[in-house]
Amino acid sequence: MSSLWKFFTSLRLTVWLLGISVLLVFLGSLAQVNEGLWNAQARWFKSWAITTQVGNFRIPFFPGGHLLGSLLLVNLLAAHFKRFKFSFEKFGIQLTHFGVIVMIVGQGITDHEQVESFLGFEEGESRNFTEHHRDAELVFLRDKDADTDEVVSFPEDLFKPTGLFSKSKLPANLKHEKLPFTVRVLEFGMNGDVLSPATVKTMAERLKTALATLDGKFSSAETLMPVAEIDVANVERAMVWRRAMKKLGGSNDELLAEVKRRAADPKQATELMAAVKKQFREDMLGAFKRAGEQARKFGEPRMGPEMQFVAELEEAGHLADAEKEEARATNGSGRGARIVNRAEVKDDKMGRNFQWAVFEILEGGKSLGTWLASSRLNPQEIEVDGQKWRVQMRNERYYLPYNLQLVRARQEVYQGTSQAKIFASRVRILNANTKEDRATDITMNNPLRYAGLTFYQSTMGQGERGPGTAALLSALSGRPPSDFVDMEEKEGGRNSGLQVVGNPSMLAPYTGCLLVGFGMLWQFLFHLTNFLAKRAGLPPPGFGVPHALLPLCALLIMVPDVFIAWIAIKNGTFFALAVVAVTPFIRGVLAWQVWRGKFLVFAMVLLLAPTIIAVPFALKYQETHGSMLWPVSIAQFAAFLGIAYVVFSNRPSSSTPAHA
Amino acid sequence: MTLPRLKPTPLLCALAFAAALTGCDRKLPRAYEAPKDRPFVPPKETAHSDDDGHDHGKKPPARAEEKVWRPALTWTLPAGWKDAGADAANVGRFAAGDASVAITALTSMEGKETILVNMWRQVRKQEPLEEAEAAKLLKEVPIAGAKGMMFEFADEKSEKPSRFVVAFIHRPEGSLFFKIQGPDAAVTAQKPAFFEFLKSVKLSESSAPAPAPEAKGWLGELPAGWTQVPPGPMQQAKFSVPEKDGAKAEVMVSVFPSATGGTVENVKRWRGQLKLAAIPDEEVAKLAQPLAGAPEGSIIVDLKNENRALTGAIVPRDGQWFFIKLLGDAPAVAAAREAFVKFATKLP
Repeated sequence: MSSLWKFFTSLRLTVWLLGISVLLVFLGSLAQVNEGLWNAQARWFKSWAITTQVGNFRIPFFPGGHLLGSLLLVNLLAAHFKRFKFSFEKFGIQLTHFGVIVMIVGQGITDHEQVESFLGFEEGESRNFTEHHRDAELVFLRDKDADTDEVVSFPEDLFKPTGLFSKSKLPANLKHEKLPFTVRVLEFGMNGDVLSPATVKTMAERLKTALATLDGKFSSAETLMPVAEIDVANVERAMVWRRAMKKLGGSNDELLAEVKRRAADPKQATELMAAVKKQFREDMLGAFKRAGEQARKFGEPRMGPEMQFVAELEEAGHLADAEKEEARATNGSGRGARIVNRAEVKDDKMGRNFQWAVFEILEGGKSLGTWLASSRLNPQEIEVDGQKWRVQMRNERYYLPYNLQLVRARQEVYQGTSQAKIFASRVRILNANTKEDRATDITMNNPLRYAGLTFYQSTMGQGERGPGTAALLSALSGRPPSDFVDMEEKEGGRNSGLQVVGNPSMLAPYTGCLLVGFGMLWQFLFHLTNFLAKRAGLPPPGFGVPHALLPLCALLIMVPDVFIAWIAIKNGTFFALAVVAVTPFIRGVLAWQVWRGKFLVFAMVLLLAPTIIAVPFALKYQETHGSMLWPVSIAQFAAFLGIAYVVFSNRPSSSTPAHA
Repeated sequence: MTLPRLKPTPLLCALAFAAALTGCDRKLPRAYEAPKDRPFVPPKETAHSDDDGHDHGKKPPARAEEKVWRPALTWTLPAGWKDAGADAANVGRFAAGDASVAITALTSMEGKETILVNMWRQVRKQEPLEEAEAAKLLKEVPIAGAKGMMFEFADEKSEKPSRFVVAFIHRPEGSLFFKIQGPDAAVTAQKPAFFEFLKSVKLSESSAPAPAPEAKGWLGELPAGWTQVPPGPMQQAKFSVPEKDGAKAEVMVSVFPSATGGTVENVKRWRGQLKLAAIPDEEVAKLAQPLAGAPEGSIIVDLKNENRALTGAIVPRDGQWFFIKLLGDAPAVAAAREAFVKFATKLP
């Protein structure tokens, strides 16, 4: 045990851990290139160990952020416990370490408890839930009454193939006391297209027809010139010809003349025909594939996934496979649907994932069939034991005990550019519990903090026309609304997306930084005071003498904190709350020493420095924080004068410290 | 530097503990009750009807019908004001000497105050202001016991100086606008009374849906067989004309304080309503014929496309523009044309 104690209290361990942490930050930052921001953070920093897949096993090969952070914390606490001895001279160092502890613990809490989600709504729409950006949930819903659903939700973590040693934990049995059945998840995909077999066949037929037409069009060299003359009149088709010609090294300056010249030579004609045909085919298949990507990003065209699928089959030479049937699910709207796995989207800016799962419903051990759930499918009905349930795969939801309504979304760009000038959402908070009904503005750098959540302006949709503008101006001016349609369109956005962050340790980084900062300032000033005192022949920082004025000075040091606390609680000011969490402790220690008549010279310096710093801030932020900064500055200066009076009126004749 | 020496057993225990934690952070199943998902129905975009004689631009996607907010208001009328009654577009209208006052209830414009100022500047061909500058033009004003806002514009340099004051308050159901406009001197003289009027307004807590417009009695002479029917939004009056062998047609009257784009633009709109192909403006201008017997500048135009026809008249009178339209099946329009011309030339 003593060996373990020695290990955890060792400074060498600290140095090793810090060194490995630097390496982790370096590797984790590099990993973001391939893994994307979110995945790299989760894998490298929000994990206990970084693993790699070897066959069917996940092998840890590097300590994760959580492990290093935890060991650093244990090391720091153990070392303090072993060596800690309160000393006013070294209070700054202790304060700094305490700040580091607050930051580590705060980050740990953030990693475990912070929930980031998204709230998107249209003007006029109310929402009482937010959705996770990436994570899906398999939900089973049942009518409780006309307005309410009973919901049983299984987050994807419960059936997604992860784990330390196992590549897959499927099939996964999901049970809940509210459900009269067991859900056995057989397959899961992070991102997949669910294809309608009928649409696949239709698209395959269309592609076949188009390819056959292409074959017919370029079946003989004689048709080359007539086809070119027709195609050149069409800009897009002309571009295909030009691309093909460029690949052959031909001139595009006079396309028709070049085609005519080549058509005259049988060999060149055959080459050109093959090149143009190939180019048309490539472009056609490319357009089919892009349709799939667009459908995943924008929801349109609806047939996009099927178009991409058949294009990929054609490229692989398996277009005949479009006729094949799949029977992954035997029930529901996903019955017979084909599933094509797509690469997981790792960067949220590049789109989203469409998770899917095939699951079996078991009632008393007896299978009732299999279903396919996907973010692309609507809720499907399942009847078990007379109970009607609906099942759906959707982004994980977090319900709020209040409603937020988007009153107005505003989007303005700098004139002549597409650069955002203003993204602003006016939202109405409708909280039946607190009887609140108030509107507030959320702009790009001014989030809404409400009930433990922070709502940041994230996206803005340029929808159709802003409602009501034309009607309003028409009513005001007596002119027809058509006169104002342009204004409505310029004016803009119709929907807004808010990033919602819930973090119980939101203040930890602020308080931690403040503690570290104050600690360093304390330590620096103590040494500076000592140095200057020696040079100027003044009493040392530890000089002290009891005096009746000192308790009053101590109170003056503490009073502004009471005021700031009152303002912070009253206004809920974020920064003030962070200050309130830190400064009373530091000021309390200082005031205690002053009350006792100790360390008076240092107290003078320590009070003077922040007072001088605070005054320009108080002047600059007169309208916002002036009400808090002025009382602090004045009280501190008064305390400084009081202590200075005591020091200089009791100054010893020599520079010998009066306080040992 | 070497790590401090440690016996293997506790080190292994610590590593095993860390490895075991790798599987942590798993979420758990949740059961809860939640409101049912309802498809969102956006607010209705405009109170205009398709056939009010005006172009509504690109049509928005079909949306579910929503009741138009029509608040129940009471007020104390300042001395010298005359109540001109509500109409389909306004909750109230008043004559204040030479100035006119209107109360309009619309979709909520909350959060759009500075944009509103700039939009109005654009209407007046003035450069838009920065948001902070536009905000300075907004002043607080008490309305119906609550804090409202107002802004004001004056055309002092024009030959006939005019002034325009808009005050508004927002409610969850929508925004309520109070407007006074007219000659500069008249509006300036009535402003104190206008502000007193705003204070006196009382807004009922319950907002009733807009009542169906009633067919008010037409003060002028009606041709034989014409029947007055409830007007559509922004229409002053509407009439059905006698059928002709099953063919039907209607007459719609709208009144605006300006020519709303002029003859050519209005004739183009009417052509659009009949789905007639676009033609050059010079050709459109030729279609309009002077309307004999009506005030100077009045025109009449006859349009036809297959079995649909439209006869339209624009009559400027007393600073107002009357837009009168006979629209329907071609036989009924032809049969009613003569009566329509008489009607258009003898407006009340």
